Amino acid sequence: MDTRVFRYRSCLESEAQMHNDLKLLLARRGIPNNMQNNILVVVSEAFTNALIHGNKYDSDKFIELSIAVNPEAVTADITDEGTGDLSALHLRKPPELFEENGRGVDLMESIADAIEIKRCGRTGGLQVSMTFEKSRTKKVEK
Amino acid sequence: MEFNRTDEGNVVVISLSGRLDLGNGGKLKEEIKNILTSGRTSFHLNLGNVEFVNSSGLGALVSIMKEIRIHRGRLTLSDLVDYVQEIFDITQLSHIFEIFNTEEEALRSYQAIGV
Repeated sequence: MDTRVFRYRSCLESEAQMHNDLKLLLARRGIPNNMQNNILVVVSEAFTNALIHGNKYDSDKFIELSIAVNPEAVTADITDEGTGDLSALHLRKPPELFEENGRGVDLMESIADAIEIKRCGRTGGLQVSMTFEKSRTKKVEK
Repeated sequence: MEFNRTDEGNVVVISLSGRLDLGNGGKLKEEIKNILTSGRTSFHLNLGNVEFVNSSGLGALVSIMKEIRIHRGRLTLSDLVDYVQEIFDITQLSHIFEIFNTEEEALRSYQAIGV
């Protein structure tokens, strides 16, 4: 398995850096464009949640991206060092159409083939594990 | 993200390129708010060169639409690439935005109502 790990400070500028790092890695591993787009948006949602709700823009805290490319699938983990509430995630309701926030997790679940969110024993924060199977592009549920 | 502004009659046309995400969405909101204070209320956003959008970028667009409506204005979008259109469809936001295939079609819709 080919795994890379990146660490980012919890600041707005890291969002663009993470995007560029991930895009370059996926392109170098020969991941097709449509699958790249799916991975980029789902990982970006997890990263933004870690930045805002997990580490709360605390630049002394880090967000870790671990990405593994194997013959069957691409898996990505986003781990923060915050105190995000796991139960609140499970109790969330879909946003109203005119709400400005609250679409991230639903978007992730619609696009990724599997999502798991759990407490990380190492950092104390939340870890979001995402799987994207190479054999199919998930059918978009409209 | 880059914003390229042109005025087509009374319609402010902004062509976006790059990523529409948390950071850039905030910048776009500020840009539109500044234009609204000058009295312009008709906006068209050409998304043809937007290569990436996430829920934060979509949230910025919803915020912009609400702000424009407070000013009794109108917001249209056009030229969404397939991938961006898919994100609008998944989130069902394609139901609340006026989305045209092309900028020309959108601008004709303004002419049709005398803007």
